[in-house]
Amino acid sequence: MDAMPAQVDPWRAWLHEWGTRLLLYARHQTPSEADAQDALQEGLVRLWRQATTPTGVPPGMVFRLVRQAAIDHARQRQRRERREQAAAGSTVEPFICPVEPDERRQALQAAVSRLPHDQREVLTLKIWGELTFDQIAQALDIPPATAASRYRYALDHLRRLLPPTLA
Amino acid sequence: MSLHPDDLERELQQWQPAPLPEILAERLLAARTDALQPAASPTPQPWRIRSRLVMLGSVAAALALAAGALFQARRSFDPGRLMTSGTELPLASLGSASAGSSRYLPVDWGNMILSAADDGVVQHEDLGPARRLRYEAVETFRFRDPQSGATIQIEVPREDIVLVSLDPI
Repeated sequence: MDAMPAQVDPWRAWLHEWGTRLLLYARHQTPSEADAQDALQEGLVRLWRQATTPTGVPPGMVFRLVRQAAIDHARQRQRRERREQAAAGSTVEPFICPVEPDERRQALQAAVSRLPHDQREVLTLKIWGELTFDQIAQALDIPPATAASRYRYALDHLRRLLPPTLA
Repeated sequence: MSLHPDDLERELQQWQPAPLPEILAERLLAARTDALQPAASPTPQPWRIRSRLVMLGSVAAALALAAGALFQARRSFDPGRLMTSGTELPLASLGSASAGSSRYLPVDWGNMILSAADDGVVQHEDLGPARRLRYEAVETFRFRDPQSGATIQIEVPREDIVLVSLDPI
């Protein structure tokens, strides 16, 4: 007699698909890895209080919840001791680097970190969050045209931030 | 020649975000369980039960104090007290209850001493040095209606403090 297949938690599968992108977005919203993880957790808890199953959950809403949690978390942590850790910066590498990062990659990564917050936010959601402009608009509560223009500004800004020898 | 935005976009898309740490995934799923737990089990917290009991006890004590104060007030202002060997008999309520054909009369009184204690020598402004004795007792009053034969018994706990002068003169 065959054993009963283990029941897969749908949220675990959902987290496997979306967790990486959400954590990257949370890292861009917070100054430290610990804050990013806390913001992600708080955002997901807010989601789980509203949705019983991951089916039909709009991605834009999830990113929005994480963003709100990051904002709330930032307000709360101002009087806490994590400020020192945040000032030192995160030591977590936000992207997988299969080989030693070359000079161009390092310069591009530094350029991304120097983007204005609203442009970097849209860039993160579009490139690595794989959201459409409509979904980004829902996440950030802005018109889709504004999301698209911010994305174009971000790419243009990046190109200008790169050193001429690497551009 | 500068990089075209489309090329830059493709280059960025090749970056792969670092995966969600497994320990963080487990932490998040555990947080989901914790977040949903209060809704699944609306059992009152123990401290809430305790606070409710304390509140009920406080209300009961306040009612008892109010009833005692009312009883004392009625005793103090009723002229129909019966004095027997220096002891007041609480006939106030009985007097009002006897407005009809029946009338309760005092038939018995007792004073049972429960304990006596010597508090030692104290200095009294009039007596001088005196030994203070403290008695705890229960006073019992019994009344009877001769027409119906009904009886009422009232027990009043009391404490008496007696000063015995130690002045030889």
